[in-house]
Amino acid sequence: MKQARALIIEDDADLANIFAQALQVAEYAVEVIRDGKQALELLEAATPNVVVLDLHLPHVSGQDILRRIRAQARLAETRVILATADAILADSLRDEADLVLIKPISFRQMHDLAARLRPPDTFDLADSLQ
Amino acid sequence: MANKLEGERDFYRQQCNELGTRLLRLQQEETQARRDAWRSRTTARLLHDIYRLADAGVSLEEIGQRFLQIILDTLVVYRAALLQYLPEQGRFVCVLSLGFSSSEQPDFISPELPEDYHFASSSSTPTPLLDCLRQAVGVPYFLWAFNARAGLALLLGNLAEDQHLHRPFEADDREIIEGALSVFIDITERKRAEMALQRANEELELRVAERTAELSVANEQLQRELAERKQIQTELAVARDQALEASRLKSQLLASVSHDLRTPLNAILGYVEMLYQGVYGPLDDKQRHTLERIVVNTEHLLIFVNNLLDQAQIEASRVVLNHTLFAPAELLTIMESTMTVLAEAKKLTLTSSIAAGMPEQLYGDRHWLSRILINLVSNALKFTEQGRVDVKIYQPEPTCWAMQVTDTGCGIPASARSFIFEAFRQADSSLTRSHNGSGLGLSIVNQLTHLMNGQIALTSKMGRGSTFTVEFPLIQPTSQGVSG
Repeated sequence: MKQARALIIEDDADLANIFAQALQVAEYAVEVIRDGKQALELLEAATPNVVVLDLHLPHVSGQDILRRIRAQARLAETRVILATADAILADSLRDEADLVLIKPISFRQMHDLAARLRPPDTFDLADSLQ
Repeated sequence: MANKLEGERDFYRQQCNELGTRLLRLQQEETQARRDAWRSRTTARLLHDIYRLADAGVSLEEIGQRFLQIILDTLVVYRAALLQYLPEQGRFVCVLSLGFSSSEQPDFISPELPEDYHFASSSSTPTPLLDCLRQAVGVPYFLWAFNARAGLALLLGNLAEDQHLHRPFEADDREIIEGALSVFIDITERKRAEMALQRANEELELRVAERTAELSVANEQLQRELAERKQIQTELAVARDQALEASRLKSQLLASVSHDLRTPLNAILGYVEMLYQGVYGPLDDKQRHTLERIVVNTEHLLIFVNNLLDQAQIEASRVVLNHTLFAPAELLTIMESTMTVLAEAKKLTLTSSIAAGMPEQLYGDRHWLSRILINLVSNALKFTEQGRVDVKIYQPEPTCWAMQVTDTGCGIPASARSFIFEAFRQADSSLTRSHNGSGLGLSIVNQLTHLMNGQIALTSKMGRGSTFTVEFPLIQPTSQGVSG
């Protein structure tokens, strides 16, 4: 058993922090990137189980990042959670994303959904929230 | 010899007698010829003068006066009058007279003629009239002509003492004045017709002018109205553009305000939730209670801000339905992630269930469906003080599926059921304060439900609770809509 890995791509520091905490509580090893270009660089090598992706990002948009992920066979198993306030743009990307969350997104919501997306072969330390 | 002389004398006497007779006959013939010549000349002059009246360009009365004057001058008569016969009264009335002195001036109203009186022959003088005239005027000598067609009579008269100035009337004179009267009547009729025609023409011109003036006024009015209408249209277009721009700006402002409100609220909620969930260590009761109140109030604020954004999007007709396949449980998960904490804070039981036999996947817009469910549950929690809120997803019929939210709250009075789905309304406005709601939630539920061809139903008992059911047709994904 190995720990599930999550990459959070979110430019808002507070939200990134809260999402990170929620995913950590859901037993993910979490990395936070706040810039689209850096995120793409990191995804050249890393293979996270879950990516929490904001759409409006500096330098490279979340939309482009989502396309790059979907274009790579190596990342075929990567689940992408879109976390955005842009409901209209998000709607158009529903087919490409695994889950679309429209902001505001609560700590509990992120935690519960991330827990559900965790690959079955990773360990699960009982639900610490309840 | 004596016999011979006697015989010669008789012969010459006879010769003398014959010559005398021939002389007399010649003298008679000469007189007759002179008279004929005078008559012809007079008639010709008379008719010529009368005909010329027609071209004089004067009034009918003037023509009449001149006609009488011509008669007097030509025939050397001193008095003349035109009489009009009025058949309905059986009388003659004087139309014009000339030559009568003021004392003589008769009113010329003739006595009533017998009904069977016949004017067939103009030569027959109506005796009662003559008697009347003789009595009234004292004119002993009369000449009378009557035109039956026009009912007009021409009466000429001389006084006894005028006789030395004038030759006596003769039978031939009647023929002359009959001719003159006939011509005069022709002329007056022609004149009357001309005048009628002229009057008709003038009238026509007048009416054309009037009508033209009216049309011109109407045209001006029309032009003015057209100009006004154009002006109004321009103003309307400007007003419409302004209204559209204002509406667009409002939507834009609302969206941007909503976004700017949500981002910090989201952060606050996230941090407080983390504390509340014990991520940073266990809490004592006071800390837990305080954090719970912060969480609950922030959640309410967020729901409100979300609804404002949704309403703005609905009003701007910017709601785009994006159909995908999803598990019914996803709707419950999204709902519970926000609502559980609100239920816990009010010590209410919140349960959710999916009926057996539900399809594993539904086809629809997950985002807007969960907005409906969250609003229904949020509404139920808001108006329930104790007891429970139960959420159920089931199939009332094979062709549709439904989300049902039942609460044990205060209930909704029948009188309010018609308007609670309107924006910014609540069943009891006094409740607004105690339940701090905007009244937007149910309106959004209603609008979104109809947008998705769904139906909304409400049953409620005062003091026992309410059940909201939103029902949607079960639709199959089109080949285009599914991809993986």
